[in-house]
Amino acid sequence: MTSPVVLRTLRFGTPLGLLAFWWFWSNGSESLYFPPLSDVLDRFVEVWTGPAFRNDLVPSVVRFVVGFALALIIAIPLGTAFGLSSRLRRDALPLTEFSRSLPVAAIVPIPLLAFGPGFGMDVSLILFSAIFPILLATTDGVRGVDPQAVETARVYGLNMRQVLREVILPAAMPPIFAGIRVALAIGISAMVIAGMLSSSQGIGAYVILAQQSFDVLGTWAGLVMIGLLGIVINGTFLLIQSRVLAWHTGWRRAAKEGS
Amino acid sequence: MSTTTNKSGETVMGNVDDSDFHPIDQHPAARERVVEVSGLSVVYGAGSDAVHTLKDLTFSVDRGELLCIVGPSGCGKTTLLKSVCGLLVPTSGSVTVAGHAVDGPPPEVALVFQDYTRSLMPWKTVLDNVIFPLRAKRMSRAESRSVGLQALDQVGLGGFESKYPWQLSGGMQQRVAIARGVAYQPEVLLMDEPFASVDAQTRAELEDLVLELRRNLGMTVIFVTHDIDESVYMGDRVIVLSSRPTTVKENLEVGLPVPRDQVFTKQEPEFVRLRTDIASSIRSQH
Repeated sequence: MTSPVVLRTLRFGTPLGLLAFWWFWSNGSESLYFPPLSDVLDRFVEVWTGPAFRNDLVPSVVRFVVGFALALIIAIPLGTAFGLSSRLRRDALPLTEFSRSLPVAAIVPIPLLAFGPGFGMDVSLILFSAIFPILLATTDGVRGVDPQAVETARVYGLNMRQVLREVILPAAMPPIFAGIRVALAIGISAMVIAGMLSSSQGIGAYVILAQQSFDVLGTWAGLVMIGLLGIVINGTFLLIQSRVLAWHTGWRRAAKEGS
Repeated sequence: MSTTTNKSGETVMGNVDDSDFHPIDQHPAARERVVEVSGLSVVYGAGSDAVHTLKDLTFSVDRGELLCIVGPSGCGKTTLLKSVCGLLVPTSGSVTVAGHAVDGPPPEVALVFQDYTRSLMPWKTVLDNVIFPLRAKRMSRAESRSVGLQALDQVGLGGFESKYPWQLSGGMQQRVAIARGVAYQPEVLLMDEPFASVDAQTRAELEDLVLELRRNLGMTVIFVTHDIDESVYMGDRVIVLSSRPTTVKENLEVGLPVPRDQVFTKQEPEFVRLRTDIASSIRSQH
């Protein structure tokens, strides 16, 4: 058994160690493509306190939030309906299977034609890429709810809407959160790709523009920001999850100890 | 055991004098039928694959009575309970609860399942598990809370209301499920092998708890079990079901004095005689 102290040291020590390694290894580097980390960080501060903050970072974040929120608003009710009705599930299966097999990059031309580069296109790409993991997770989660929990609620006089709110959705929350986590990762890449492929605005566009103008430090500064954005989004998600699913953690621990 | 013993047992039952028999003191003369099951049949599937689970089942339960239903495993006891609480539509026959034909979960009925881990919601606290049915009926937060706390007190779980079910032992979790049934204030409480998954000591405590609750609240209880001793110990009357296709095989009044006692009741000749009758009746169908 590995002690918690060792685990915690590894958890926080590993990224810090890697950063330190990068710092010392690149220190005094003469390479054009791998500039010293200190220079990258200087440039990072300079870029993201400058106009790029308003022109690239803010639009990217806004589009991500809007696209992802739309994905949640559509996928959770739709997935619930799929989970409840085997007929609906069967009828929609060919369409969902086809759509979720399409890589984000492959469908770029369609929103590009429909909306032109910019807000509408970025939002629809993020929406399209994030919707399927949430849809499938919700479908499976709702299907997997213990029928006896539903029967209990029905005997105690709950109508279908109340059963949905009191039993089915809370019971399906753990798988739904797992789906959201997958969707977040895919949604972030969609956000970057959308910018890189077409947009004149956004964090992806900033990185591509810097790369095309041989601004290596700028490219690195953009990449660091994308990584940081990922950490912040994931951290926010974990915070919400630990609140909403607090019971689940305790319940799983109790089940493990009991067996 | 042969059928003859069984038949003589029935004859003796028929001769039981009403004067030795005290079903429930609160309800002397008035014999109001609160549950009536008549000609109930349930068939799963159709044609040559059809499985006849229940076949022409008829019985009734008086108000305030504790009726135990006992039968061999797989005899459709759960199917019967599901028909009474409106979760299952019978193939033919009818169930009436408090004068209304059952065509969905009747508001007068509450159910305690065998498996508390599946019928208690792990995301709800103990109190919320007890009162969510009341909240769904639009009872105010304050009122449902006080009803819920009182029910938890009655099952001996005062002070545990803000715990989660999975923080409690198995016996305590089943007490939460019983409290939910009590808080719902049903006319009929159905219990589906409620103590089959707890240890013997806890089981005895829970049996006495249900008897005490029934005495204090005057509820009608239908108690399904596969345990013969439990059925005689708990019941005012015991119905023995046959194996599939299930029919009512025996209908025995239990003339044991109340309150029952885990040690002394089980030494009474009447207790021994009844359990022997029931055991031979169940065994004779194999």
